[in-house]
Amino acid sequence: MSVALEPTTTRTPLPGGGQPGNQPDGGRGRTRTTGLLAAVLRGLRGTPIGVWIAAAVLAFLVLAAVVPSLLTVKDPYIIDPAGAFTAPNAEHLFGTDQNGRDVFSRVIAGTGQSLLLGLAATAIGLVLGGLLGITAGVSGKWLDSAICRFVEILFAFPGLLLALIVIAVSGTGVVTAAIAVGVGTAPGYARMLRTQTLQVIAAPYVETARSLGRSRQHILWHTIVPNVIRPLFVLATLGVGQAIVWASSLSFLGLGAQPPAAEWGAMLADGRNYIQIAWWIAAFPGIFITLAALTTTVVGRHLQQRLEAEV
Amino acid sequence: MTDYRTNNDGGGTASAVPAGSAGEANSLLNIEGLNVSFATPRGTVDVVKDVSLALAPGKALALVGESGSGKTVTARTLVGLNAANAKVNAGRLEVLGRNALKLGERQWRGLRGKDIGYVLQDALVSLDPLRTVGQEIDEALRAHGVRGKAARLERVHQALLDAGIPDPEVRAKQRSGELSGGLRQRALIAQATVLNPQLVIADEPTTALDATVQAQILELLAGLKEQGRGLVFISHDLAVVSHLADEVAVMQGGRIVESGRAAEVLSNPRHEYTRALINAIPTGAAKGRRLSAGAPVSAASLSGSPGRATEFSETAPAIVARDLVKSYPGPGGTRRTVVDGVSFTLERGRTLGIVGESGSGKSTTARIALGLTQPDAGSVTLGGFAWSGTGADQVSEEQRRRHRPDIQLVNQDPLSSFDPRFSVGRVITDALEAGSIGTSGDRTERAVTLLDQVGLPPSLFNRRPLTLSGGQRQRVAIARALALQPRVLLLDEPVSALDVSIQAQVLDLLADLQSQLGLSYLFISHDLGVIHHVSDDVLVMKDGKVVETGTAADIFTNPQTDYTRQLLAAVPELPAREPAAHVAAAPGLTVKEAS
Repeated sequence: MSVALEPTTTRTPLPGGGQPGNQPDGGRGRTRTTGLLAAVLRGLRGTPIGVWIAAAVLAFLVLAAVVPSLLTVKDPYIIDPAGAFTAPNAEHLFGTDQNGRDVFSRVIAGTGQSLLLGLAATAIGLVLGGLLGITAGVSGKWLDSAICRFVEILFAFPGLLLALIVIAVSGTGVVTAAIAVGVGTAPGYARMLRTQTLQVIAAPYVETARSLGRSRQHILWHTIVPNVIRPLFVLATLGVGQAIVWASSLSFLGLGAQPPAAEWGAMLADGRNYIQIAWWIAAFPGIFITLAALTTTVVGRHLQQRLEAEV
Repeated sequence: MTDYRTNNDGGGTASAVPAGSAGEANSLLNIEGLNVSFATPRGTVDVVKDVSLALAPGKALALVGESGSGKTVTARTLVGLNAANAKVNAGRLEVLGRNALKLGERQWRGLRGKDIGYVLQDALVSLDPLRTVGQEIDEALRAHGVRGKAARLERVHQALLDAGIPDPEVRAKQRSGELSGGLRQRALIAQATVLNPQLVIADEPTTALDATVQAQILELLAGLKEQGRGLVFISHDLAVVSHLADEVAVMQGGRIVESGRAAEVLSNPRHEYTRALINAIPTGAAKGRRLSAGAPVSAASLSGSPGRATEFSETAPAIVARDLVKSYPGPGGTRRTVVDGVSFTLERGRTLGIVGESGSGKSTTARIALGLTQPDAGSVTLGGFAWSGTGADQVSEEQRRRHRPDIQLVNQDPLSSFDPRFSVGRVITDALEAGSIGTSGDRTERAVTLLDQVGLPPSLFNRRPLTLSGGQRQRVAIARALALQPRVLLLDEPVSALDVSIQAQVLDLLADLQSQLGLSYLFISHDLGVIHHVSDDVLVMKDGKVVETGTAADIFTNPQTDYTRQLLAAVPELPAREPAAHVAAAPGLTVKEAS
């Protein structure tokens, strides 16, 4: 084996330790996994304490969403008129509401729904926005202008108003609320993804793909689209917080989850009638909405900065 | 704040004070045993070690070395601008006769701008894009309490004029984005000298400038010296150093390895590292000689691989370009002609160098040759088949795609040409896949062979290009280009972003590959030394037109046009040196790039 400018070891250790012949497709999957893992590990070092706290709270919320039974044994729907308006105590950490239901269990029970609503709405927004934005970015000329004008018209309406329009058309409910919030956030994502698409198209590596002899289709699906959606994970993390607030707002207005469902927005709406005599009924769902929005934003921001430092 | 302190463990050891000026009463700089280290989360890093310097008024001192040799940190220490985690200690650190170890931030601020002018490295980013040049210079005056708006404006204009900027009234009202690179650099110098400092420190003042502009800036800096100011400047270009410096200090790994009178050091270098640096400079004189000390690579490892089917002719020239024209819409419905009637022929197995200043149309010519830009008129044939053209000669992208593997590009910034998701290995296996070369099973092995061929160890296979050094990235880009078994490589400023010693290695690599694989090179550069070194034939471009074309020997020894003569005259040259036996031995450069 020839030795070049730099002395190579005679063993010629192969990447990933395997033999090239037994490794179909050049260990592609592994390369990506190790890259991501390494990035995550690097990300853990030098992370500010605030981000750690946010991540811990977020982990708690996720735990509450996935296995609420782990955190509370009380049924969030059992009515106990005798125990109504109990202030927070050892028995009822967050007190009880006007019907004597345990606020802590209800808040925990609502976590799943709120997070799921946030995730679903963000996913819907990203898919809609992605379709519009990426199509506009890659097509150019009149289709790009047409999509841009359409998105600008949507921008003229406040996002929440868009969401209300969707609900006005298709009625109230949790599923509708998710779709409504998704539609409301889609124009923002569309614009961001169009810009991202234009940036990727102008990148020298796209041109390189062309001079390697790749076809337009191949470049679109294997180079442009993957690089456009690469930062989406981070964008989504940031979006979930916003979507949770919006979904809660809809429920608060009575347009999303309906009482007696344990949903933060609905609970907040319920509790505000008693705010003077029993502040805890409204306060704790409100605090959890804030926590969910805050922690996803802090963690998302941090991931975004890391990604930008990486690229 | 940077921690400055005297070191007690013996200043003045192994002193490398340039002869003649140390200890003089009126010296601007008197430094002995300077150490600078940085506290990082992974421990202390010593960046400058036991550096001693001196400078008298009216003299220029050059700091020379590769990236990471500690030049910039040394220079920043002289203006008290080191980062907060820097620890400075020295046996003696006298700047303008004051003990700099005892200066606080407030006192440094009093010195900076007024007594010490600091010209930052990158003119493009060192000027605030939102403020006019006049405001930038005015700020220095205001910071040092010069009163009266009219008086200050007068001085701003005078400073711009002194820096060789005509129409200072107009220029002072422009923002940096509206100025050319040369004017920006002049504006920075005007800003640094507006208060008549005794000492001017300049970090790479001519890097990234065209040859003629560089010559003007060098003249301007020489003028400062004649006014009796002291000048400390950093450069990686030894020819520039020989032009301007009285004293030179060569730095390697934070230490001064050699110092003395510039003429002496450059014409009769004693340290092997200095010799290696000088040997690494591409010139006409060094044509055909290896610039670096490494052994030649062997491309034999690739010869066994099955050839790719190609229609590339074995008899026709590699590229024939005829009367290429390309224009772009300019402001107000006008059209700006970027390439105007360019014709050239690249013979098989040879190197055609295209040289010209920024805006001469060489990159657009390259893009047309690569089939990425459609010309407005003219045609290109590649290896005998139609490659690009207009009208009846029009070639569709579908027809071209088949031939694309025959011509590959290596550009100035390889990192931007790698898909950011890809590892080094994936960059190359992806190219192999694009050319349907090999089976999916053996591409990894082929990629490792290609890496080996460009002098990279297999251990880099899973690394991210981002974590590689500049030279390594350029090697990966070359390996990728070779993956498709091309006949022509288009090299667009492939070494412009590299240190001189790394540049030497890459140029040697390209020469090895050309001779072993019979490649044809279209080599674009603004650096006349590089062009002279690599080219068989040369094309000189200006304003989109071919000014002159001929063999490299003809162009460089017997230029026919004024423009070429002017271009050649602007290139600073090293003093002639007896061709001693330094050529082979250059151990300083066998040091591997940091990986």
